[in-house]
Amino acid sequence: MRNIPALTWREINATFFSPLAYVVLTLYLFFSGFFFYLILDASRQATMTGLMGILTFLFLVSIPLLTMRLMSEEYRSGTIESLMTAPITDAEVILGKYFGSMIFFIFMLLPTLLYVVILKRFGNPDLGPIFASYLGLLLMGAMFIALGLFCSTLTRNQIVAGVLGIVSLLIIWVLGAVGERMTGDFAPIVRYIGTQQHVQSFSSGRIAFRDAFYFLSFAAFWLFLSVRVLESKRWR
Amino acid sequence: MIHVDQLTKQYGPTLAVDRISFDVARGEIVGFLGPNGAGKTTTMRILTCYMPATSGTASIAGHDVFRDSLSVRRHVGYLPEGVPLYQEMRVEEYLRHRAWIKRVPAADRARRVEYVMERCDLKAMRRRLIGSLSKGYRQRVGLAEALVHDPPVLILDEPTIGLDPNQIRHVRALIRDLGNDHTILLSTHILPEVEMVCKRVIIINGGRVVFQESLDTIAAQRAGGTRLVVELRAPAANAVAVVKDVPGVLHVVADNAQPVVRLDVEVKPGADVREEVFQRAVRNGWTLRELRTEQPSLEDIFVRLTAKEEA
Repeated sequence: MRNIPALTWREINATFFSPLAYVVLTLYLFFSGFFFYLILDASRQATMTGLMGILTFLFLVSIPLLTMRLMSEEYRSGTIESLMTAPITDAEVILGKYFGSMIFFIFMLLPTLLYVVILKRFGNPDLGPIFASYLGLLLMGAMFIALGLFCSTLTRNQIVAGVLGIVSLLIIWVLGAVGERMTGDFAPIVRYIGTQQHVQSFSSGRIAFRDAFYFLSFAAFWLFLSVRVLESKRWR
Repeated sequence: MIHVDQLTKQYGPTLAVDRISFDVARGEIVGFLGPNGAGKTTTMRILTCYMPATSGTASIAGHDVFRDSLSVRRHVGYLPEGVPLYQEMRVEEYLRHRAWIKRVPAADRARRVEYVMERCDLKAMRRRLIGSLSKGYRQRVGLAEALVHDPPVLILDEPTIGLDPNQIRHVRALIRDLGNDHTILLSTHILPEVEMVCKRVIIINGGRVVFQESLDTIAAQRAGGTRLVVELRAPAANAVAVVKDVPGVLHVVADNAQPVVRLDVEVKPGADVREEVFQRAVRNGWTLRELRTEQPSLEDIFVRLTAKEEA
């Protein structure tokens, strides 16, 4: 695990070098600022609850766009060969890339703290739910990035990886609502897999172990599968 | 240093490498030859732990490529075919990154990177983006990368492909120079290159080793001459019979032309039959127009061993 910092460092560099990252960052900040204004203007309440829903939805689309490059680009350009013949394990490769994306994700979240500052300056927001919401966003990002990375390990085509990521995230997003309408033994399972309810519980200010466990266990699950897919590439 | 035993690789129904065995001793530079698709790259990929073999074993510096893969990778510098590099990084930055990944201690990293840039003539390019470099420079960055952790073994897959003649010379000189401190296995299509750079050659075809000899031995065989070309003003049938009778001659082929016949004579290695052929020609009253030994070049050997299947 000693090599992860080197890999993470290179991943962050590559992200900041790619024009796509700036396009995604710009659009995401534009929409989040726009909705922050709209919601605040309509509700006149110093809360972030409404905005959190918007942010999660924006991440649903923007995270796969950021992660689609991770492995696909290595496959396409052939650099995977120098990566997999270096004295590093496959798990280190995956985790290095994962942490690189996590750091960029945190970087994406930072400017939104400005909204908290604005609320604090002109109103009297309840900071507890806001803190919980950010924790929720971080955990959600941890899971979304793991899933996006997994999609990227599957194919050398970035577009396929990106579309696959967005579609998978949308599917697990709506599973919660599907579960609500289902009856029978599987309904609770489907409801549990759906992301939406877990995010909502954070943005309403509750920090529940159950929800944190949901995000972290799925993140670990997708990372584990990513390592397995990468290992299997050697055998083909 | 490199030990390969009965190595086999199968891609689905295709047999890419078929029970290959060879050894490379410490300090040797070995040329790995073969036509396209012979299994060179596959063998190198197995040796560098990029993919596992279907069966058989291989080890580098005493470490098994399958069971002890990370140690092998620490002992090997690998230049993959086509030299894949991160286009968006700068030369020095990339080398430092790779040195870091390859566990060069932090205190030595700057010095090692400086050293390999010096060795590969990259110092003027240190701030350039790799994506903007010419092919020759990219090749050198690849070589520098392979060298950066000072591995005892270098595995180079077609290190001079796509370079211009000057660059090829430069890279060859570099490889020959590196042979002093490293064991090198290099694949190439350029046969004179092997003769200039390598001490030994391994030719594979259809996934099997078909020839394995040191270049010194090849040169020694050449000095004796294993083929003789004789041109005589004589009846073809008589000439063949007479020349065939000379001790040391294995096989004679005539072109049956009139009145001058050309004989292609295969001679036992080490035997020199030229004087005897001359004297017999005189005895029979034939005019000897030409008598010379033909030396098999590495190219002849290569073509003889690998061309059959295409014909």
